[in-house]
Amino acid sequence: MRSSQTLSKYIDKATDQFNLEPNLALNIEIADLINEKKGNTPREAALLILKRVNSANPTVSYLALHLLDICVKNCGYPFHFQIASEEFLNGFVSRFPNHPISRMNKIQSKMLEMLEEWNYMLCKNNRHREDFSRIHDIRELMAFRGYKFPAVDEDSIAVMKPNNSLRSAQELAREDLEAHKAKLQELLRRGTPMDLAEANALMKVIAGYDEENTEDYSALAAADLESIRSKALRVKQFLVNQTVSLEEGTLADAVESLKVYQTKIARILREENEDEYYVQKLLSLNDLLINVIEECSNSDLIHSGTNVVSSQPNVVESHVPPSSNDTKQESSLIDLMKLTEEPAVPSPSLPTNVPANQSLSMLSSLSNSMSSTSNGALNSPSYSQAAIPNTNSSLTSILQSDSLMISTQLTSVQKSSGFASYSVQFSNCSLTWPVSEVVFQVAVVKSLKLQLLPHTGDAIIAPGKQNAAHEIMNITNIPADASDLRIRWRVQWIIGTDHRVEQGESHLPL
Amino acid sequence: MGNSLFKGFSKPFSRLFSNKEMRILMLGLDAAGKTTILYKLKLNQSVVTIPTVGFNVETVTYKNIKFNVWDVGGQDKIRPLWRHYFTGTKGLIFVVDSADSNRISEARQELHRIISDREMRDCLLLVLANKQDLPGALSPAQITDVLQLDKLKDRLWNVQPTCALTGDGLLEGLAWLSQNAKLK
Repeated sequence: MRSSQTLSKYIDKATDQFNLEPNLALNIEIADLINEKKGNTPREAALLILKRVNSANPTVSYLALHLLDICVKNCGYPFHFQIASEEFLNGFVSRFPNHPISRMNKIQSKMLEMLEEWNYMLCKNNRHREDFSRIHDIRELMAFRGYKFPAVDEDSIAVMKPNNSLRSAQELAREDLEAHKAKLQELLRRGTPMDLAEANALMKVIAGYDEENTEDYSALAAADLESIRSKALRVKQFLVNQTVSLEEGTLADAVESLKVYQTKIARILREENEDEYYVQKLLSLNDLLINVIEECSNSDLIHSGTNVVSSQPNVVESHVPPSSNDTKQESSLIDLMKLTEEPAVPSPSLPTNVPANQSLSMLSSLSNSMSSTSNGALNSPSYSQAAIPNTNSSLTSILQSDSLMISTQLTSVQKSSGFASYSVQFSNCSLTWPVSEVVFQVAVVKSLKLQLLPHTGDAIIAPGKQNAAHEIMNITNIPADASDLRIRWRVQWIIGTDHRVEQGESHLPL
Repeated sequence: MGNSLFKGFSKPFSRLFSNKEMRILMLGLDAAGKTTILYKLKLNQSVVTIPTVGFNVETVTYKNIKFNVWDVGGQDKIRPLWRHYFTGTKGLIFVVDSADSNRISEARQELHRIISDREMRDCLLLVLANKQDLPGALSPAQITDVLQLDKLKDRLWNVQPTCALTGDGLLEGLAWLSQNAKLK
């Protein structure tokens, strides 16, 4: 009751006839309220807005249509199921005459535009489109009676495009569960014998008793990976043969698309995932994407692709790089493993064939922030809480860029047992954009063992924040006479909306 | 004189023939006897039941009140869906297997979870202490204690001993519901 009153007040306020223009902030607040409350709220909201849409006052109608548009594009299945209901749609088109009159007013034109968008978004490109078929039916009926629907503006519905989505099986299952619950709620409310029969069947699906009608989410997720893999391979082919067509249009757009996928894969890998087969496919695809992205950034084609205004997909370069250069420029995680040992005299007491223990370390997704006691100044002496209390240890810079900065500090060393421990600190030098999705990978020579521990800290580093996140590197099997350690590293991150990748080699003092 | 007589006559008629509907939600753990109760009330027969995976809904008329009784499956996988049936519920019938002392505390947890929901704030609570024919069945007083019904505030509740197979106690339960239903 309380949420109903709040919702009603908000909608009244958003569609008040004395508003000069739509209140975007309030409209989005209403959409958030609908998403948050669930239950009967989506229905109440849809019907309240519909009443305003059909107001005799054109200002109220206009404001209500804007609110409705915001809700459709920011709410999920529960709201979409309501606007696809017979009750809502009949009300929505109730003021259209059987056949179109010569000149329609602004309100009616806007309504036709919205119907066409809904048809496109919900009936053609949505996984649950069978539940929204009434929108298509009513649109077809009106078209049959002579109404002309305007073409859909791609930008206007870009927020709901399913193209660039990649979801794990768990995410797909969660999505469907929410949709099923909302549908069950509505079927029970309608209560006709047919609706109740459908509700009974739906409960069997939700409770897991009807596997025949349950989606195979693992298969869907695997199919997603396969389609991304195909895209990556097309880009790879394009670098060799520019007559290959890219569905994104330009090489630059295709690369951006791959970067988005790669970031998403890294995020899925951080979640617990019991499907070993799926994890293996993810890791393999991750490697392929990194490989292709590296090739593209080393290629001249990326720049000509960016500069061509006409965005011709078949850009032909007059100077195709020789394949030997491609091979040399190619770099991937595998190259991190190829550190060759320095021509030092190996100690006979230590084994030299111990395989490197690599671990991909990714920042914890926890949003807890951790205050750092480290000295933020670079290259200044500081006393660490080491096993040897009097050791002076300085910060070593690993990466300096305009956004992400990485430094490391020796925190513990035991030369007798060949052990050293370093803390790695991540800072954001940009004063404008946050840094997020940091993925840091390290490799050492084969004679050493490396353990890279994930650590709590900011998953999103605020602008200008120093030492916002930390990792720990433990290295063992260090020769007694070593004075420093050589590592190769790769890091990727997002600054604002830009995707960055850097790699290099560093020497860590002992 | 004639007009006055007509008005006076029609009023008692409308009151006499008024009918009322109540939406009743019947919940409880699996195998408590919900579906058996539903069809004993509806058909006055003991039907053989299988575990309810979805729901059953039947209309039972008693003392001029039409009870729309929704019997929803009680297995643990289905319990998260109970809340989708809460809207519009006027009375909750919570069925307890009085002989299943091992799971009576689980029943208590589920009951309190249900009535703490905002949508169930105003509904009547009828607890059916079912299977009273079995040896070792807890008495209504014991059921009241174990379910901690005395702790309930602002809630009209009643515990009715029943035996679904014979129908004992069922109509008494409906009578209590009809007596306590608020007239519009």
